[in-house]
Amino acid sequence: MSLYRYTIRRLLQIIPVLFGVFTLTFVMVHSMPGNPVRILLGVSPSQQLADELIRQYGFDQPLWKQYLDYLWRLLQGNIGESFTRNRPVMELMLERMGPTVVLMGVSYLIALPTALLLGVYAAARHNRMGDHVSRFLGLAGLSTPNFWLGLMLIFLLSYEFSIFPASGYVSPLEDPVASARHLVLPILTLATAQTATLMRMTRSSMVEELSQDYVETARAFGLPERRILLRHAFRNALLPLITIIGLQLSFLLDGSVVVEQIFAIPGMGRLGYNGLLDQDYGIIIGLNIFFAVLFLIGVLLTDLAYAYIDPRIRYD
Amino acid sequence: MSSESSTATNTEFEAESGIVATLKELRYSPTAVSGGFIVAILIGMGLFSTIDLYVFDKQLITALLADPHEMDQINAYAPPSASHPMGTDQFGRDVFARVIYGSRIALAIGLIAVGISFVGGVLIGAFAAYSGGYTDDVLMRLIEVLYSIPGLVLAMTLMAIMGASIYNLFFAYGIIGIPAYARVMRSEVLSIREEEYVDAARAAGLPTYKILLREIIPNGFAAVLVQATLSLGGVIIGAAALSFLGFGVQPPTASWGRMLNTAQEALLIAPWVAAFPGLMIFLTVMGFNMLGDGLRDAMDPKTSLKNSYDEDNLPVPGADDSGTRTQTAVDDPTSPNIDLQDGGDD
Repeated sequence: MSLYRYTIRRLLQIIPVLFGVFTLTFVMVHSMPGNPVRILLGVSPSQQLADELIRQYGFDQPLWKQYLDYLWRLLQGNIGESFTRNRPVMELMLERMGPTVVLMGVSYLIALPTALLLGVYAAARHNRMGDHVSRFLGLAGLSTPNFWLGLMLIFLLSYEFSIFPASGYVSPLEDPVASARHLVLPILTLATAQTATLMRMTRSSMVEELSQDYVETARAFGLPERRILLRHAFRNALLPLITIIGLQLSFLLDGSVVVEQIFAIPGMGRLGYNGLLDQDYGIIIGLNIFFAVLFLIGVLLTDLAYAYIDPRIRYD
Repeated sequence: MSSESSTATNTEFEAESGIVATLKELRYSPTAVSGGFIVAILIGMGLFSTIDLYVFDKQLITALLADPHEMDQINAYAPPSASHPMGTDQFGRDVFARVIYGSRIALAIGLIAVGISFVGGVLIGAFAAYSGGYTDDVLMRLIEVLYSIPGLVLAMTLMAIMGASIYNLFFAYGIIGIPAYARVMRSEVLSIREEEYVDAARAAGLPTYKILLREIIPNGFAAVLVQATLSLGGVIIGAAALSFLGFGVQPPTASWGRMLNTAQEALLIAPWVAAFPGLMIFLTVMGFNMLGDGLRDAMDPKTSLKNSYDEDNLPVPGADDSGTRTQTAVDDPTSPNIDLQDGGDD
């Protein structure tokens, strides 16, 4: 099977999963206690206003009809309507995608090189002091709850020493300097656990490569150790890491919800959080589907990159 | 490292008694011993607060420190002092006493949620892999649906439906963990199914359920056990994050995540209310991670965590994301490299 056909097959495999995600979230939101219209309109809404809203969003229809209607709209690319904000969810999501993408993107850009560097270093000093220190730091980074780290960073770097602002978001297109200053703390918060995870993976992958026969051969030929490390072992060690990079999207999406909440960043995670508090069916379903799509596409891309890079892969 | 040569011996020649041998090996790993020490202290705190709460009605902790639920408005946001080693919160409650009581909640969530995921995942994964064919496909697609929604988002949605309470938190995190275990178990069983001793059992005429329960599941257990230890920390952080966001444990129950939620508002005037519960989460998770890391080190390198996303059947030569699976092979060039045999043939 060619890479092309493999890609098509993988894309087709995503469809039933997304259908499952939709069905699951649809069932979940409709089993929520309470009436969303009542939450929207307050304690004593006028009956007329409530009726109007209920009719407008089809809540008076039988559930199976609502499900099919929703599915039909979904197939046309509409992931839902927010009734608290009276707008299509897709529009709301795209509007707030900027800050989340910047946050996650910069976080990757910082975490990846740091992790690779530390991981290779640790593997090169396997079972010596440098390795033990890196391993300890890796474990510590992995064990730090991001919301606590965020709060402590705010306290230290923004309250005690007023170096960085404690909250808010400025678009890098508007004012790059202010934007960077606002991003430092959220990105530190988001990237710490990510760096730690990637670093541990890099290290174990490198340690494994360094144990292979070809490394022994290269050593026997008298190649300099640095060259063995970087030119031979590192290239092979990168392969399994590619898969992990895609899977990490899930943690980053989770992390963005927490970080956007702590630092009051108007991103997708915050939109979803507020949607959950408001019981906004459209936003909740939209959020779950949107995040699932992002995750599945991320995983697909990394798998394809992997299959493309590694000639040993069979596509079956 | 003194433990490594013996680890290699154990894993290669006594694969059957894997779990017991591994647990014995653990004492040679300084990481695992320190981790175990932290976890032991936590379990002590958890047991103490549980017994104190249900048997002595908070008398013990009141005698030692202060009642974790008693409010004292005059002393609100008192900084750490001799009488309140970690200060007090917005209602003047002793933070130290609440931190100790919080260990009960953290451990309960970790153990119960992981227990639910463990049992559910092992059963689904083993059943899917052994049945194969259509059953396997359908089950794994369902698992993939759960897996494709980021955990915290799914947990928040579940909690919004069921209402914020600690029992729902157990359930939500239990459900979310199932895919990871099912995947690990499935990939284990897929390779174990082809082992010679399973063929032998089949040839000897053992019924299917006996093969599954006596030959296959026990041999796949090791990998899932490592997965459980390693994911405990993540579950504790995740559950605390939910409480922090207001979807988890509700007041007045002392939980670390919930304490951080309220501490956020007074970060400027009373940073200690946020610092100590968070530090406890960190130490707890660190303890479990160190224990899990040590466990994996001591474990058979062959059964370490398989690729966490193997749905697409991509053979990934040597792509195990395990920490230090081939430590032995590196230091001891004479030891046979196990990976060469099992790499990429699943």
